[in-house]
Amino acid sequence: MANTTEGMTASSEIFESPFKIKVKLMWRAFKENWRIFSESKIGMLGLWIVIIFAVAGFVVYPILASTIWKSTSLNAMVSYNPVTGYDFTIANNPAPPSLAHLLGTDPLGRDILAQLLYSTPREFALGIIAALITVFLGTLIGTVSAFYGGVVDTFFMRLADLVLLFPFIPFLIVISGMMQVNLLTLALIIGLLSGFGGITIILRSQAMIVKVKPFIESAKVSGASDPYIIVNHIIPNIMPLSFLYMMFNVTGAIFSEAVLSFFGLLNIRMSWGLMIYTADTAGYIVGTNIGTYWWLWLPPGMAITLICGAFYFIGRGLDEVVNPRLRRR
Amino acid sequence: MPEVEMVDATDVVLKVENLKKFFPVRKGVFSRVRSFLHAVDDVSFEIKRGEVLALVGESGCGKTTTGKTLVRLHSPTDGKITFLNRDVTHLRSAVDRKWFHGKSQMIFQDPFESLNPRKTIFDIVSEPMNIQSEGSLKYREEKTMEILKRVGISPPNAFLWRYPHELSGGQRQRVAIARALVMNPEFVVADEPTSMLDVSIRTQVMKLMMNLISDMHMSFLYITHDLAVARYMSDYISVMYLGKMVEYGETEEVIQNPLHPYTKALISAVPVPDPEFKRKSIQIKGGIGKAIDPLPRCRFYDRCPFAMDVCAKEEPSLVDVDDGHKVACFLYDKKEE
Repeated sequence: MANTTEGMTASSEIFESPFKIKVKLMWRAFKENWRIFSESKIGMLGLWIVIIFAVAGFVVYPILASTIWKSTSLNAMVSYNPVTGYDFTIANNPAPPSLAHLLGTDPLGRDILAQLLYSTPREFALGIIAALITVFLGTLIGTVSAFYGGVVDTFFMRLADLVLLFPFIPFLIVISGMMQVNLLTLALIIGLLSGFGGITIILRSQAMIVKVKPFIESAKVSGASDPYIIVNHIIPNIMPLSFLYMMFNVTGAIFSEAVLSFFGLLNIRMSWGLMIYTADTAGYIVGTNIGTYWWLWLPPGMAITLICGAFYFIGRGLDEVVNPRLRRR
Repeated sequence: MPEVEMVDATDVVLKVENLKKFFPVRKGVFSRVRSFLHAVDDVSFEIKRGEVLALVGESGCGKTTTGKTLVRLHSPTDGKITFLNRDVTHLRSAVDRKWFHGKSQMIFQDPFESLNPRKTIFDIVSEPMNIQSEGSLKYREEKTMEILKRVGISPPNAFLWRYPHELSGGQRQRVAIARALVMNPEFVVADEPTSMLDVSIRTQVMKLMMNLISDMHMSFLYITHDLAVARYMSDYISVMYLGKMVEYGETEEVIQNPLHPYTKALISAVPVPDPEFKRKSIQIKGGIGKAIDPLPRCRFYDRCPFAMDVCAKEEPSLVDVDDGHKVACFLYDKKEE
């Protein structure tokens, strides 16, 4: 008896807290993966672009909005909102970049830089929410249909084929005609639609590889239930790939949003697509105007291109972490 | 269902009667199942407590399928499996399944694939307890440490939080053995546990298993294609050919006095480290076939050097020729008459 209590105290010292050890292990794995990721130039480039945009949207904009763009800071005439308000101090709009408006104003006298920064956090939110929904659905459906096979598998795979063939943008246009689409509903629609599409097929094929590994049989021999195997064995093994596709999906979501708001189909206050839409409907992106009024379309266009590219580059960098074959040795 | 837990040392742990496992063979995508692969066809044996039965045969003869059927990775097509006096052929209720899976385990062939690469050694070894929700976390930790020490992973706390890829092949197989034995199972199927290991480590792992079997009074079904390993490990040998059991008996008896032509050929193929040694070797022709809808005749007929007319007409049944030494061959059937 004395022996056993002694043994217990001895081992309790070793097992101070298994969760702490788990966190340490995760940190170690993260450091290792970070080392691989940081070696890929393209991934780091993407990460830096995303960081710059994130800082601009989440830090710089609130500061600027509460200081120099404060409603009363400009001649206290009317409450001036740089995103939607009209600057009466400027006679002709759109005005080219000046000290008061670093990126100029749009045809409605609104500050381009303010619009750009205001939209940034929303673009991030849209992209990430849509991508999270996509990946969550894709992982779940992919693993379930790989694991059970048969009718479930056939149903979801044919559904995925259907969604893949689906004209995505026209569908969104029709939807936006039927209901008021704001940013959150758009994220939901994009997430749901692409969650049943291509990502499901990719993750299913990965899950099929994991499913036949002996460690699954080993768990079955111990009496593991199907949900236990899916959650504890299959999903952790396809998680890196899910994460990778999440990055590519952020790109897709932001791009779809830009397209839709360019057509003026979204019920949102401001977005990069909407900025180009404003310039376009006022006739400033036609003929020679396109060169003259470059500040109307170049900043939002650049922002869309850069952020979409950046998330794609991060995905490429992660690809090297996930697929050891791509690493340069 | 009667609860018979108290069993004496010579009690039969596992009894298999006329076990059959057929796999449907589909030709084309939409065609209906027309033929069956008879992976395991009418196999019967029993394993007593603390005994090791070696299942020997060529690859593709149904050894692994038999093992997997016994631990219910496949459900049997026909036959009856009795485990600790309880019928476990169809584990219908969740309680039965939990009971059965808590007492039976399997060690897999490939230690590189049978451990989840994303789990730590602690997670892997304690998983059976985790699934069966046995004991507290502390109890599981202690049990894991104890079993790791027993399989020769020492010091265990240095390995507990490592991942399988950080271990050598021999260590991995030890971890796999620890995982299988952590719940003190009554019956373990070992599917060629040493075939993927280096020859230098093989003996160590086999010795370890021998010690554990005698310490823990387990019943072992040891699947192997290596007669030398079978001779070293087992008390009884059962030779399989194309899903059929062709010979069964005590290990030494089968090795010294093989009766079935196939067993004879197998034993004559074992290399002897003596260049002067001359022995009568039996040459069999051809390769192993596929047991898809086999004809009702001796499965070894095509390759047998002693094939007779009767072999092509009937299937020989397993008959006891000499005090528990059973063989399925007409050569010996005749003798008795």
